[in-house]
Amino acid sequence: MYQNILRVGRCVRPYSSRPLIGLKFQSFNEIKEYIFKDNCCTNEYLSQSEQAKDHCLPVASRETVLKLLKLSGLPSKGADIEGIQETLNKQISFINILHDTDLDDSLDVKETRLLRRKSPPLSYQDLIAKINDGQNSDSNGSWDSTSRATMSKNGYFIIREEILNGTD
Amino acid sequence: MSSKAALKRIQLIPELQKKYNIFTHIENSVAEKVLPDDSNDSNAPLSHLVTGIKDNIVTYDMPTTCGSKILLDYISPFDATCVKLLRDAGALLVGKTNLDEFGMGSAGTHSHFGPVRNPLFPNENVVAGGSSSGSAAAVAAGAVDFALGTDTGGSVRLPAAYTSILGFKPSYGRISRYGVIAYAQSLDTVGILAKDLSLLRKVFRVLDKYDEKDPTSLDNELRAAISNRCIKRNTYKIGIPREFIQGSLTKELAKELTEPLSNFLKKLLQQGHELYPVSIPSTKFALPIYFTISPAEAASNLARYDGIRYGTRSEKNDLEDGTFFSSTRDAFGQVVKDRLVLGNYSLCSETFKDSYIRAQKLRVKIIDEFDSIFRFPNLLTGSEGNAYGLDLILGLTNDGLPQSIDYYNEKKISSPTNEYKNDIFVTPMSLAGLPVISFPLLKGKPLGIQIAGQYGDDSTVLDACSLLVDRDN
Repeated sequence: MYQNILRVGRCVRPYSSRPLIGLKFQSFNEIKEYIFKDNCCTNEYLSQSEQAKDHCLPVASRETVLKLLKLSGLPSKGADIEGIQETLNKQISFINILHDTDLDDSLDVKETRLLRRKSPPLSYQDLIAKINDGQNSDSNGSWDSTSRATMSKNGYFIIREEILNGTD
Repeated sequence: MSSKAALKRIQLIPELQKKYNIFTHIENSVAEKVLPDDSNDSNAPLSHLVTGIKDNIVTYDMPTTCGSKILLDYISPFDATCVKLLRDAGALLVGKTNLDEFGMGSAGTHSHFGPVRNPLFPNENVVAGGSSSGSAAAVAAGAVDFALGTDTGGSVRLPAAYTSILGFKPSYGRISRYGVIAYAQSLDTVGILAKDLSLLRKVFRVLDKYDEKDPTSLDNELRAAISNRCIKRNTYKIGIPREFIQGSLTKELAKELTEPLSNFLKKLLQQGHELYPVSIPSTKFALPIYFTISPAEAASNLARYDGIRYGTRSEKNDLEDGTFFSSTRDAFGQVVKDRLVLGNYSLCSETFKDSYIRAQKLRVKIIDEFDSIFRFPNLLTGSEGNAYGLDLILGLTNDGLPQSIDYYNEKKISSPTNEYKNDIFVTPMSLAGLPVISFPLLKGKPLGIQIAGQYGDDSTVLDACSLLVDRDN
């Protein structure tokens, strides 16, 4: 399927937008030429193309920095605001490389999570087994956060004691 | 291992600590816990093996500081699952290892306890790599048999390469994260550092278990399904991604690498492996994706350090200049503060779509591209695998030699992003949660080669490593 041609050595093709597996290396010399060929550089990855610069993230103003410090719960009094602004703008310039490619709208951000993309549907038996497992387990990784409440109404709970009372 | 060997290691620790600043805490009573060789319990799988635990993994009997002033007095009421498994298997925990604060760094220089020095250079002040700097230095110096680290964007592999040892990052979800203090939860993975592969595998067998306390733990059904699909091979189809190796060598590195790398590649061919050029284009964006997603997750995870829920509460006012707990949170180091500000920038409504969402979509693209080149199926994404695909990919771990501690301090002043570049070859696999191991290209040299497999195919990565690591070097 992807056994396409990615030529090596002198004929290395320009940057491709699709993943490609090239033809098997036939000799050590081919590998050596491929590895030590200076046709691109990692520094190239860290600079943005001219076309993409129109879509850059906004540079942070002094007001933005003050807002971000507040959002981060960090002090602004006595802070080197210009220094933070300079650092942030260097960081923004670094992540702006994200705009150097077109994105397929069909990409689903939920699929970022390294979890099953599609869980198998639960059957009635599965549900019963899960309930029984939960009942038999001494520890399910959670704690009953409302167990210390002495009063509850309509799904609301009141805890009058100190939450750590009686614990070490 | 014998009790004598364990005691010998433990006795070395104070001197090694003085030289390399490996630990944030040393457990002085550990020598008393060494069992006699004829004890019944000494048959436990990790009996008499000395270990250090990265100080962002909680332990009930030692402080857990994350290398931060804000957590100086914190002692967890419980052990992380991985720590409990090690104790149950008989391992001797000698202490907590130094790290970049909350795992944020790639050189091991951003700790409240000071930088870790690289044992490969005993007479110089050279960095050990980060963020699992103390864990790598502990193994390299011989203070422990193995150590636990965490790898969010290369934090096990890079220090392993810089200190010339093995650093294994399993598939995301293989080892429980319960009790690992979160930096970026979608990436954080517990890893193992050791000099000896068979020992590393033994430790992995102890830790590679489903944990119901970790919602991202790989469940038993998937573990079994992956295991059923695994095929043991003697030779592999190995891809060399152009993005990880080609043209990336500085003159200095090329000079160092040419001979050992050539010998290594010749050995691969002699062993009968098939080598292919491969291109995984979206990995070009791995660093900016990583530095968008991880600070955004950190901004959320580190919000709990307010001095009430966690952290040492400042004696000054709780409310200063209209911001709650800012005087407490002022205890964070500068690198952590910089990343929190960047994380909140990415999460702001003005930039959210163009920054965070874009990075998330590109991460999906990277995962899909990896799926298209591997022969093994990805049981998380539902990819059946490419019938003509590869078993493994191979590349460099580090794109340069470790520098002096002074160099990092000076470079930091010019730009924080200078240090980010160290992670250039290690972040792509983190974003896709792939299993990957870094091993030294040459004994005693700070140059690492990493091999990675498809998600879940950890056994192929470790099997291949046993063929590729030169036992004589």
